[in-house]
Amino acid sequence: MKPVPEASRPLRLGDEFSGLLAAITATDAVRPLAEATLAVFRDSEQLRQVLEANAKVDPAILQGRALEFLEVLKFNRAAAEAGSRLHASATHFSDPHAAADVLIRDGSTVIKEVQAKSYGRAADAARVLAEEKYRGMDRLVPKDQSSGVRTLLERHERLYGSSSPRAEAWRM
Amino acid sequence: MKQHLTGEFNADGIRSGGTTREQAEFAARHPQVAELQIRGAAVLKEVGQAGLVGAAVGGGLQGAFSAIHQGMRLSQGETTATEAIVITIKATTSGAVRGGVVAGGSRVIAIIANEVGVGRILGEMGPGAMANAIFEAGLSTHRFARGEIGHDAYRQELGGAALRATASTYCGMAGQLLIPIAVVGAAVGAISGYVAAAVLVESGVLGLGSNNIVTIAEERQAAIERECAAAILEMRRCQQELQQLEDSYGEGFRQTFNPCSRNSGSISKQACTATALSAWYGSPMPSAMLCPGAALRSSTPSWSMRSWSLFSDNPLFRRDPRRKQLPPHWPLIPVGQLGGIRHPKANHRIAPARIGLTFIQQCQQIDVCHW
Repeated sequence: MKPVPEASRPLRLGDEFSGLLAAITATDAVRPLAEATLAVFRDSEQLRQVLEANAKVDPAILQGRALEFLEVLKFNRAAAEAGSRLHASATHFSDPHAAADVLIRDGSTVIKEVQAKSYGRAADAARVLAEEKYRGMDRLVPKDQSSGVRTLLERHERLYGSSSPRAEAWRM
Repeated sequence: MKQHLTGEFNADGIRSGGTTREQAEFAARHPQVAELQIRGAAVLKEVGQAGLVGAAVGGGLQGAFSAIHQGMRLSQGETTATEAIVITIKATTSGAVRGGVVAGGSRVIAIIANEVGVGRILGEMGPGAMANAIFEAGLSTHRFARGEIGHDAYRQELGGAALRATASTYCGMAGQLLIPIAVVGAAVGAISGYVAAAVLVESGVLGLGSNNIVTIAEERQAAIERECAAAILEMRRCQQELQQLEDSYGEGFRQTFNPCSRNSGSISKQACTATALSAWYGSPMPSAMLCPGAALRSSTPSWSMRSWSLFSDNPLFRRDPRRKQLPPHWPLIPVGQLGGIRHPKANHRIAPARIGLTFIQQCQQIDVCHW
């Protein structure tokens, strides 16, 4: 058995100390990411709970709820990574009958309300989101449908202008 | 509606990034898989970022330390420039690997701790200290498996690493309480705890293994206590033997002299003793007194036998069987010279020890008193 030279012990302690300093520095450097991970864990649990509670619902319909919670999760993760105080929360648990699906708060102040809709056809989403009760809210659609809905609105505006009975609602 | 239409949450520059319908449908169909994917991505991002930072810091520190050390050696002519550069590069690489692994591992530990609800127990510096200790333990295990260190050294290294990690963790928590500045207090506490523990372990005050002076002192103290306990027991045993001897002698004395006082009538013990001594020193040694049992047997067999047994059973008068010949100054009188009176057990030569002189005198006293 080769004995370990005594001179190597301080060097090994130096290595260990460097490792500790690296861990301390990294802990501080990734603090926003750590907060984001905590937020992701919290929101993903909510997402799973909601989806599992509605497991018998057709996924083509349930995906609307998934869209809502996924966006909440992503927004909170982005806010945590940026060190922002903004926080999004779904009203599904706190106020199920609220018009808005999601509230974005700065601290305790609501700065934005969001209504999320995800339909198979962009025209259906546009029609529902144009309802009066959603006036002033952000209207969220799936990312891959937003351009289609926007194109639809622009075409409608070109065709009917401001004379359309829904023109006012579609503008707001 | 057009101005409020959006494919993602957007507030004060914070953007969610959007979700496609396909992603939403996948989550609706496989909620658990979706949760794992989302969590895994977040963990990988955090751990990867921590690993990069840790690698940079660890490599930088190790590289700097090694460069200084090698520079000193180079200036003293103990190494060559090429060798110094190679060693420095190796140390930098090693430090980067260690720093990256430890930093990444610390975030994994922190995430798991938060998930199982023990994040507050570990504190802010606990995961890093634990990851560092685990890495050190892994290195020690590798050295032990390769036969570079023995079992004691392996045990000692593991214990030392655990102690340093524990001290770092809890001193970090104490530092955060004492210095309520984010990171600074915890870092100061953790570093102080680590250094203090390292000093104590290296000096042998803390830790496991053969180098622990406290353990050594405790073992010595235990040995001393064992020896003291054994000595006390031996002393008690000797005390009991002495007590038994004293009791036996006292009993024999009482049994011997009580008849004397009864038979002597008005003759006191002192008078008996004086008469016996005068007979002892003033005339040739009466052979009968050397075997008082035999001498007294003819007249008072009852208590003369007791006297004989007292004489023969007493270890003070017992002849040493290993001794072939008795010392020449001992008055040896053959029992056969007792005028034909012989004790059945006394068919050997009786040598009164000097310490038994008093007993002989007492026997003489009995004889005188009785006769």
